[in-house]
Amino acid sequence: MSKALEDIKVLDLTQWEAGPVATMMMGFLGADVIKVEPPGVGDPARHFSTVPLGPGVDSFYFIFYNLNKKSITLNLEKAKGVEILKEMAKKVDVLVENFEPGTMERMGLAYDVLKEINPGLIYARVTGYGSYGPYANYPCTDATAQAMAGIFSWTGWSDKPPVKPAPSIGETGAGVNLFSGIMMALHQKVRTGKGQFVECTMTDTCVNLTRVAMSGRQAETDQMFRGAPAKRVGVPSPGSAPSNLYPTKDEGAYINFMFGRAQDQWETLLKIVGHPELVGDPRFVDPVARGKYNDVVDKLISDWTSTKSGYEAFNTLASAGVSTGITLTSSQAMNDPHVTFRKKVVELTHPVRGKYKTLGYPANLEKSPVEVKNAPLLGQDNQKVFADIMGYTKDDLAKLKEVGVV
Amino acid sequence: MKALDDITVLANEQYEAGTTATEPMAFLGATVILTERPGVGQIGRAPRPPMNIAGIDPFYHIYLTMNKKSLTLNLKHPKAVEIFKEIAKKVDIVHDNYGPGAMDKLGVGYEALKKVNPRLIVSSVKGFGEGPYERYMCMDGVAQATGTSYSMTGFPDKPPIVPGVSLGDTGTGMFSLGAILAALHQRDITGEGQFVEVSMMEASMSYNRANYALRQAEKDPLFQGPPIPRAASTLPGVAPYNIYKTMDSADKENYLMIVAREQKQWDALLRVIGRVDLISNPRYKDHNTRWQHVEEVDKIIEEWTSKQRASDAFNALCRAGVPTGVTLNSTQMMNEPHYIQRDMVIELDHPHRGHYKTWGCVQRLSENKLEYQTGPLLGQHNQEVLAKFLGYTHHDVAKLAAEGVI
Repeated sequence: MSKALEDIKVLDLTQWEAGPVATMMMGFLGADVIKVEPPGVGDPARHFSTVPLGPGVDSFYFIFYNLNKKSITLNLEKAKGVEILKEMAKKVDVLVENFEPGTMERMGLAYDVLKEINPGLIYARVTGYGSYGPYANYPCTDATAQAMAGIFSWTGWSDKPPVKPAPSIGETGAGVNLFSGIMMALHQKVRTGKGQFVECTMTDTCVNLTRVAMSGRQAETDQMFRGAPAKRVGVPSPGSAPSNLYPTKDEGAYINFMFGRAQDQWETLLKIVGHPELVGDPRFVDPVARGKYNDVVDKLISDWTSTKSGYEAFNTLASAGVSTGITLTSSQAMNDPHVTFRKKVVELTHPVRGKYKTLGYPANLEKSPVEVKNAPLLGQDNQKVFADIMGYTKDDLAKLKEVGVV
Repeated sequence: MKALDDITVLANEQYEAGTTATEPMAFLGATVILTERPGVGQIGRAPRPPMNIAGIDPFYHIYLTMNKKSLTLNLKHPKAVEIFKEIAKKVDIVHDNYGPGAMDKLGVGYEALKKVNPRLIVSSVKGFGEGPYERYMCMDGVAQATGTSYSMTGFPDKPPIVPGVSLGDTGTGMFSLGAILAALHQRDITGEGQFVEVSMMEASMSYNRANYALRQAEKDPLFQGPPIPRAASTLPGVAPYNIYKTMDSADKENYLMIVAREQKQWDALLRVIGRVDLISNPRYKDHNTRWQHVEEVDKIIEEWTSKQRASDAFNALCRAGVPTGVTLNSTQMMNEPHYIQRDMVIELDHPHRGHYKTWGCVQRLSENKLEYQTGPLLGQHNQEVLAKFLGYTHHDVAKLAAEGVI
C-alpha cells in the first residue's frame, strides 16, 4: 500500500472551502475523491474571484482547494440524477457535503436514506452552526464564524476597531477538523462494520481555537467568564520584553521573539546584537524585569535588526538557538527556501490557467508520500468514473447529457 | 464503544501544539498517557499569574489535558527510558512535540522505538522539519510569523500583528491529529506503523491558502510580485465584505461582519435593510462590480446597521440568508446559548480550581456519546499505568519514586 487512503473512495459533493479542504486532504493521502458538480455551473467557487474571470475560466480559489480530485457532473435536481447518486453511494466509503442545511434532505439524499442503501457509509457534513441550537442552519462564512467566536474583538490594536485575522480559520479549520472526524469514523468501522454521521461546524471550530487565548487573557481571574471581556492590547505586551516587532532593512519584514523565560536565549541575543557586556545585568534578569525597560530592550534589538535584511536577521538569530520569527509576506513564503526544499510549495501547470504555485500538505507520512496534482476541469472525468462505477458507455452518457442529468 | 477506545497513545507532549492533537483522541475514547517530569510536570503546569502557586495548575494546562492520564517519568534516568520503551511496545501511538532531535537524544526516537514495536505510529510535531530551518526553535508566534499570518493581519497604516488565536500551535495540532489518524488507517490495512511529522510553519501557511489564491494568484500565479497587503476586515475585490457599526458598537464593540458573495445574498440583504429600490441596479450586479463602488455599498449598509441592535440585525439578516456575524467579545462568546446547547462551551470541576468553563469536542460522530472529564493532576495515574503495562506493585512504584525514576 503506497498511500494511506488508497483504499478509500469518496463522493465529494462539497463546494466553496470548508468541505473541499477535508476532501482535498483525503486526495493528498491517496483517496479516490470524486467531486460531484452541477452540469454547466459546477462548484460556485469556480467562479468566485477578486477579479472578474471569463466564462470557463476556473478561479485559483477553486484550483487551490480542489487539487488531487476527479470531477463528474450530475444534476441532483433531477430524479434520475438522485437515483444515480444513490447507486454510486452503494459503492463508496465516504460521502462529504457542505450544502445549505436542508438541501440534501430536499433532494432525497439525507443520511437516513443513504444509510439504508449503504450501512457502511460515512456521511460527513460541515455547516456554519449545525442543525440544532438558536442559530441552527444560519448561513456562515469564515469571517462571520470568526466574529461569532469573539476572535475579532481581541485581535489588533486598542486604538483601532476589532479586526479579522487573515487566515481562514473558520473554513479551512473546519475542513481540517472534519477530515479528522471522518478518519475517526473509518477506524470505528473496522470493528463495527458500520458507518455513521460525522459533523463539524465552522463556529465550533473557531470557538475551540480560542482556548489558549482565553486561558491567558481572562480565565485565570474569571474562570466562569462573567466579567470584563478580553481586550485588544496591540504590541508590545505590557509587562514582558522583548515582545515587540523589530524592523529590518526590508520593509514589512519584522523580527519577533518567543523565548519566554529561557534566559540563555536572551543572553545569546545580547551577544548577537553586540552587547555581551549586558549579560547578567539585573535589569534584564527575566521577561517581567525586562518589561520595565521595554524602550531600552527594543532599542538594543532594533539598532541591530534594522541594519540587516529580514532573512539575514532571522537566520542569524534562529541558527544561534534563539526562538525567533520573521513576518514573511506571501511572496516571500511562497518562494521560501525551506518550504521549497520540502516540496510544500509546488509548481504545477493548469490546462487553462497556465503555470502556478500552490501549497501541498503540511504533514509527512513516512509511508504515504504526497504528490500534488491539478484541480479538475468541470466534468473532466465523466467518461472514466461513470464507466467504472456505473458501467455506462459513451452512448449512455450522451443520452443522460441530452436530458440534462449529466 | 467509542471510535478510538482500542487505541493507546503515549504522549511526551508539552505546551500546545502537541497537546491539541491528542485531546480529541481522548474525547473519542483513546487512552492518552502524558509522560511528565516528576515534581514539575509538563511546562504547561508552570504557575501563571495571578495565582502563581506551584502545584496549582493554570487553565492553560487544564483546558488542553481533558480526559487524559498522567505518568511521571524522569527521562534523564536510564530506568525511566527503559520503562518508556516497555510501554511503547504495547501502545499504538507515541506522540511528541519536544525540540528537534530531543526524542532521539533521550533514546526514544523513531529508530529506537520501531525496533521494539513495528506497529507503532510515531508522531512528532516540529517547528520546521527537515530542511534549512531544521534546528530552529518554534513557538506559536514564530509559526504565525513565518506562516505569513502576521503580515496579512491588521491595518495598512499599522505594522503586522498576530491573529488573536494560537493558530500556530492549535492549528498545527489539528493537522497533526489528522495525519496520525491517516497513519492509523494505513496500519488498519497493512499492520505496519510509520513515522508522521507535521511542520508548524507549513500548517500556518495552510490556513492562508485562501488568501494566496484569492488575493495574489489571480494576478501573480508564481508569486513573484508585490505581496498581499493588510486590508483590515475587507477582502479587496469583493463587496460587501466588512464590519459595520451598530447601536452596540460604542459600548460593547459589537459590529456586524457581513459577507454577501452571491447575488441572491445581496438581494436578500437589500430587502432586509429596506432598499429594494436597488435590486437589479447595474452598479451592484455582482461582488466584483460592487467592489468598484465599495464606499457607497458600505455606506448604504451602515446607514441601516447603525440604527440596529447587533443581535436583532444579526438574526434578521441570517434568517434572510445573508451570512452575518456579530463581533462578540469573550464574555459574550463564552455565555452564548448556541454554544452551550451544543456542548461546545461546557462546565466541569477541578479539585483545586473549582467549577470552571471549558470547551467540548469539535468532531461529532453519531455513534459516539461524548463524555468530558477534567484532566489529571501530576502523576495521578502512576500506579494504574505502571501496574497495567509492567505489572508493578505499589511497592515497586514507591521504589521508583524514591530512586527519582518517576
